[in-house]
Formats: sequence, structure tokens, C-alpha cells
Amino acid sequence: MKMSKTIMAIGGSLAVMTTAVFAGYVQPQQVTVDLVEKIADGDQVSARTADNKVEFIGCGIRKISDGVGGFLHFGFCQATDAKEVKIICYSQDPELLDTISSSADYGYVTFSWEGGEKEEQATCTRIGFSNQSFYLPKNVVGNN
Amino acid sequence: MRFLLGLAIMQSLVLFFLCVRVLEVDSQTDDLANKFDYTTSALETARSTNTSGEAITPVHYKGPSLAQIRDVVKSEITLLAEQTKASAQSETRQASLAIQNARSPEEIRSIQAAISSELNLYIQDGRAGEIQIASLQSKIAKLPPDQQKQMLGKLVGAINSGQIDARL
Repeated sequence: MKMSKTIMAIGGSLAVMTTAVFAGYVQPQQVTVDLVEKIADGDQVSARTADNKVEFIGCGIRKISDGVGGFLHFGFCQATDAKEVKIICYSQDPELLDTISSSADYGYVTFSWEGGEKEEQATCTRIGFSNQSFYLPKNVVGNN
Repeated sequence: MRFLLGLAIMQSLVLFFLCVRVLEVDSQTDDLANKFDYTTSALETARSTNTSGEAITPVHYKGPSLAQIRDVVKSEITLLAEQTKASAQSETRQASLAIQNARSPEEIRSIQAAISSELNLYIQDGRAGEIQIASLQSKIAKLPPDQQKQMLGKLVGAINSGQIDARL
């Protein structure tokens, strides 16, 4: 009786360990900002769980009333990598604003820009998102 | 006797009525026969004018398939949707421009001065918080579209160059 309980405990532990070890394919992408190629990318989970306090990446939209019926509508993407290289680009292009609207949590973000040296404005020219399982954090609760 | 005489008259009337009806039916039959003859002769004429001598066979439909028609309809709808969207965006931009132009030049100059002053303050401090950036953006929104773009560019440029430590 005692023997069978021990076997069951070992079996259960192994099952839990197996689940923890095999949790699907992962592809973390740390944030990189390349000021020469003018491309930034990275996934939000890797940025959020990075072992520094500067790394981040993301995009957003602002629609601000001017108080008399008009709006300032623009989108932006911004990133800072572990070496503190940073970039913000913005855009008022309706197509790019649509793309930003399609972003989701825990996703991979990539964007390009033109301009951006010193005082110059950096205008977004390419914005992409990828929402795939291999970017999800480990502690997401399963549905089974 | 009177009864028999009445019966004979009645029979005569019925016979007369029947004769009239028979004549009417006969006339209708002739009309139908004439129409049938005309149709038949027209068909015969058509056959005789077919000089190739080939047999006349039913013509099958050789137009676009249902899938092709669907594709055409789909592409037309997509095109229409894109045109509608572009038109709506253009109208929104024009409406925005009209509203922005409604501000007096003095008002616009005053807003520009306030933005520049605020931006310089953040550059001196070397940083700006979320609320300060939001406040600046609200002021930028009150400018005409071309100046909005210019001021947004200045703000982004100041952050990118490290003059202001901030995030949008």
C-alpha cells in the first residue's frame, strides 16, 4: 500500500514536471533598435520581462479633440533596447493607423521610419504585428 | 296535343342553338389551324435559308461561370468600398481643415507660442511625464493640420535626440 502511494506520487510529480518542461515552441525576441537600417522590433513579453529597466516596445493611437469639432489623429510606435538606443516614429497615414488598431497583447512588434536624426522628425513607414503562441508568457493560464 | 307542339318548338330552338355553337367552334378551329400553318412555314423557311446545311441544334450558354461572376461582383464591391472609404477620409480631412481655418491667426499664434514655451520648458528639464506630454498634444490638436504635423515632428525629434526623456 505504501509502495503504491510512493509510485503514484512519483508519477504525478513527473507528469507536472513534464508539463512544465514542454510548454510549446517559444521564440522570444528582445527589443532591437537599429538607427542605421531604421528598423526596430521585439516582442512585448521579452521587453516586459527583460533584466533591465529600459527595454520596451509598442505602438499607440491618439485622437484628440481640438474643442471646436476637429480632431488631431495620429499613431506612433516607440522602442528602447537594452543599450538604451531609442526611437519614436509617428504617422497620420490612415492605412498605418488601421494597422496599429490591429495590434494585440503579448505580440511581436516591428516598425521602420524615415528621418529621425537629431532634430528631424521620424515618420513611420512600416508597422507590423504578429500575435503568435510563441510570444505568449509562460504563466498564461491554459484552457484545458 | 298542345304539350307535344310546345315540346317540338323547344326542341327546334335547342337544335338551332346547337347549330350556332358548332359553327362557332368550327370557325375557331380554322383560326388555330391557320396559325399553326404560319409557324410551320416560318420554321421551314428558316431551315431552307440555313445554307451550311448543318442541322439546327439548340445553342448552349457559353458565358462566364458562376464563380467568374462572383469574382467580378466581389472585385466591384471591394473597389466601391475602397472608394467610399477614401472619399470619407477626404471629407473628414476637408471638414477638419475647414474647422481649423475657422480659428483666427491671433489664436493660432497664441497656441503656437504656448506649445513652444512648454516644449522649451521640458527640454530645459530634460524630461516630461505622461500628463505633460498629453497636455502638449492637446494644444497641438488646436493647430491647423500642417502645423500639427510640424509640432508633432518637433516633439518626436526632441525625444529622439535625447533632449527630452519621455514616451508617447
